[in-house]
Amino acid sequence: MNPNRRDLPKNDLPLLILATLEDGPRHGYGIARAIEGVSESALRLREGSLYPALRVLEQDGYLQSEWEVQPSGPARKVYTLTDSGRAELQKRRAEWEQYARFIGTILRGGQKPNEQPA
Amino acid sequence: MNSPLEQYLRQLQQRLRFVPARWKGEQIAEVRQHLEARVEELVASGVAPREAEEEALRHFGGVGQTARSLMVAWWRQFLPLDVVTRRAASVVVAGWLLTIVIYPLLFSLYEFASLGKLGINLLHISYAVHLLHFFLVGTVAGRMGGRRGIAATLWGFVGGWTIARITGEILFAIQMSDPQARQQFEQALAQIARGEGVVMRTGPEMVYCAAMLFAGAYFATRHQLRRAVV
Repeated sequence: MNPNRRDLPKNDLPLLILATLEDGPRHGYGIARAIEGVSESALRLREGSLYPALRVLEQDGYLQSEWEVQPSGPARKVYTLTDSGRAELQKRRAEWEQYARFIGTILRGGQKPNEQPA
Repeated sequence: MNSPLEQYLRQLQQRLRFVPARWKGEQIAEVRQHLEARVEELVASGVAPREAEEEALRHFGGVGQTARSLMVAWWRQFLPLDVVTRRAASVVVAGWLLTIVIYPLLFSLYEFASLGKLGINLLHISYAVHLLHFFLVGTVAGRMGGRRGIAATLWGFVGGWTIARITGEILFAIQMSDPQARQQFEQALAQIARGEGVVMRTGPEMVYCAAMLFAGAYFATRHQLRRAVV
C-alpha cells in the first residue's frame, strides 16, 4: 500500500469519473479501480461515494447508463460519457489546470514556471 | 445469511427511504455487484472470504453515509435541500406543520367577526408573534443541526407557543373591552353549549399560517441549499 495515501476530496470525484470514462464505457467498480490504478493507490476513494456521484452526473446529463447483459451472472450497469459530459470534462479540466498553475506559482514564491528568480 | 456483505445490503435496503422501490432496487444491485467484485479480487489475492468481505465493506464506507448520499442524490432532482438528511431541519419543518394544524383548531374559538377597538383582529398579532419567534429559532436550529438544533426547535415551539398564549390572553382581554366583541364571543360560547359546533374561521388562519410556514422554512433552510456535490 502506498504510504502517502490520502483521501480523495469529495468535490474532485465527479471530475475523475468524467476523465475515467473518456477512454470508453465502464461499470461502477471499473471506474473505482481505474481511479485507484491511475493514482497508483495514492488516492483513497470511499467507494460508497461513487454511486451517488454517478447518479448526480447522470441527472445533469453528463453520463448515460444502461444495463448490459453478461454472458454469465447478472446484468451490469455500464456508464458512458455523453457529448455534454465531454464538454463538461474539458471545461473542468481547464479550470483544474488553471487552479494547479496558480497554486504552483504561489508555492514557488510568485515565480511562474520557467521564470528565473530575480 | 449472516455474512457481513448481506448484513450491509440488508441495512442499506432498510435505510434507503423516501425513494421509489425500483430505483432503490437498482442501487442495491449495483452496490452488490461492486462489493462482490471487490471481494472476489481480495479472495483471489489470498484473503479469507469473511475477511475479504469486511475489508471490502471498510473500503466502501459506512452504510448510513451511503444511504444518505443516495437519498440526497435522488431528492436533488426535486428539491435544492438536503432536509431528508438533516434531522434538525426535518424537526423544524415538522414543528411548523404541527403549528399550522394545531393553531387554527385550538385558537379558532377566538376568531369571531368583531374587529375590536383597534379595527384589526388582534389575535392575528399573537399568531405572528408565535410564528415569528418560531421562525427565528428555526433559523438558528437549522444552522446548528444535531441535538442542539433539535433542542432549539423544541424550545422555539414551546417557547413561542407560551409567548403567543400570553400575548393572546392580553389581546383577548383588550378585545373583550369592546361590548360588540364580547357579545359575539358569548354568542359563540352559546353555540358551543347548544352543540352547534365551534365557530371556526380557519380559512384565513390556514392561509396565514401556510404563508408563514413556507416563508420560514425557506429562510431557515436556505443556508443549507447546496447542490449535492458528491
